[in-house]
Amino acid sequence: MIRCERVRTAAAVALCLGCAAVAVGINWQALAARELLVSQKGRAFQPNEVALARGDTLVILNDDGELLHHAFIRAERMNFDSGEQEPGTSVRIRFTQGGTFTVNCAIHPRMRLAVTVR
Amino acid sequence: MRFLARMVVVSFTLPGSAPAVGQPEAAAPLFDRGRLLATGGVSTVEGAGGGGLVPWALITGYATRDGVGVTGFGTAVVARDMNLYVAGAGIGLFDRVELTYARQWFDTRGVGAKLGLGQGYTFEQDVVGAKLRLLGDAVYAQDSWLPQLSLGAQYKINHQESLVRALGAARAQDAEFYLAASKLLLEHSVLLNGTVRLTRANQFGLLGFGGDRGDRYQPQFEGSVVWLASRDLAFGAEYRTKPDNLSFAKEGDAWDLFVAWFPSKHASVTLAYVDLGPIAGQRTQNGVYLSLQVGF
Amino acid sequence: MRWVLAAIILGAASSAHAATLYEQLGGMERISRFTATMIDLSVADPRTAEKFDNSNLDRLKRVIAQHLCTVADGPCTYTRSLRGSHVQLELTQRHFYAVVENLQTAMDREGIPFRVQNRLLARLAPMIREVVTR
Repeated sequence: MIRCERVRTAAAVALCLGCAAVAVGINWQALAARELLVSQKGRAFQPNEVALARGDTLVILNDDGELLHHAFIRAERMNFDSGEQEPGTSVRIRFTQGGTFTVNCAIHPRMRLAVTVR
Repeated sequence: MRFLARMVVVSFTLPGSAPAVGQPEAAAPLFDRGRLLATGGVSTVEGAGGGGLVPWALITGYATRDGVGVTGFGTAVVARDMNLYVAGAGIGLFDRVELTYARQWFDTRGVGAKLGLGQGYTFEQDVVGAKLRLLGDAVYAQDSWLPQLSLGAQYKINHQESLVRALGAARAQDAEFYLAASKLLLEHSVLLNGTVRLTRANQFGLLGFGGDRGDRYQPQFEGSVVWLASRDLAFGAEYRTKPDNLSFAKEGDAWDLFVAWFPSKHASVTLAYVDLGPIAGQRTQNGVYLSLQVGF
Repeated sequence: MRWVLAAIILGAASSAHAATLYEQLGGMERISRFTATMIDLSVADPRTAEKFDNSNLDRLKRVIAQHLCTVADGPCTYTRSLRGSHVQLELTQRHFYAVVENLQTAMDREGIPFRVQNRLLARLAPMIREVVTR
């Protein structure tokens, strides 16, 4: 009887320690990381400013009829180049660093998306 | 439909200065002079947009389908025994409708005396014209055989009623109708025009309409070939058949060879050698044709 | 020697006669040059300036030169939809003809004969239906 109780206690403690280990191992930030959708439409980014948290992913969708787009970021801390985006396709940009970034379009110079990452 | 919409918008915005809803952007003026140089043609001796003798299916002036163009012209023909002077004006509306007016003076010079009318007796006539583009676009339909097709009508009022009746004419004022087809073959830098006209005019109406030899509307055939030598210079040949209703004055076909210079969309000068055929019992009347057209 | 000369002349004459529009326009180098001039003129032209507002001009010149090369039966391919690329610009006939005039001027400056210019315009003219949407 005393042996059963000890085994159960030991199992419970092992289970708790196991959960804790898993809990520590999980990247909570990644689980909480968001995806934010921005459209390229009417030769503009809609919306044209977004706020993200570190680890978030920006999804840029070409929703502009038959027009091509070409999103890029040229900054000290990060570079991104989508290449020519066919209509209906989207590109994903993950922001791992904080700061402000501007997404431009190589085809339409007036297109600007201001990204603030905290 | 588009023409009516444009007319309504224009009538509500003239004389206002603010652009109305539905009008092209504020920057586009009504007198847009948007069409390509030379594509408005010049003015015929009857005032219609086209060549010198033969009307084209193209609408006078340079306005695109969103605009309006006005033209004015003066023409002088000095033939062997007679002169013809013409002055007139026209308006082209939204590349769809053309309205024209021309006043003709036919100076018989020495022939006037021979006819017992007096030296330099001058016949005068008013010509009011309208043309409607039915279908097609001569300039941009380069990939089809379809010409630009327009329906035209002219009403002519000869001011020497008793005289022309005395010469055998049935009446001193009359209408005539024509169907014109124009095709620009850019591949060959050539403009082709063909027109069928229902008329019973004697010498363009200058000697009245209908006569003792006939008083029925009969189809007449007119055509021209224009070679575009450069953006501002065109050479052409025209031919026009005419009725022969008066027994006293045999009438034949008319033709000319011309060169037209378009220094800008505001003006053009046309010089031609013209043969109007025999007139009023005289020998064939050939000579020089000079015309100036201005536009806005 | 005379026969060689005659053969060369005949050969040159017959190949000139059979030249494609692309060759008559002077090949890609000249097409690129007059395309660039046409765009520069149109950007400065008050009738069309605002329509070039949000365009990468260098890219536009490159893409249009490719298109003209294709239209003139040159060694290029161009597959984009004309209507698709122009519909948002809401172009009128006046815009289209203004650019045509600027193209004519640009070709004049390249010394391209008027009749050859018209051969190119003949192939471009029907595109008005795709480009003019207003």
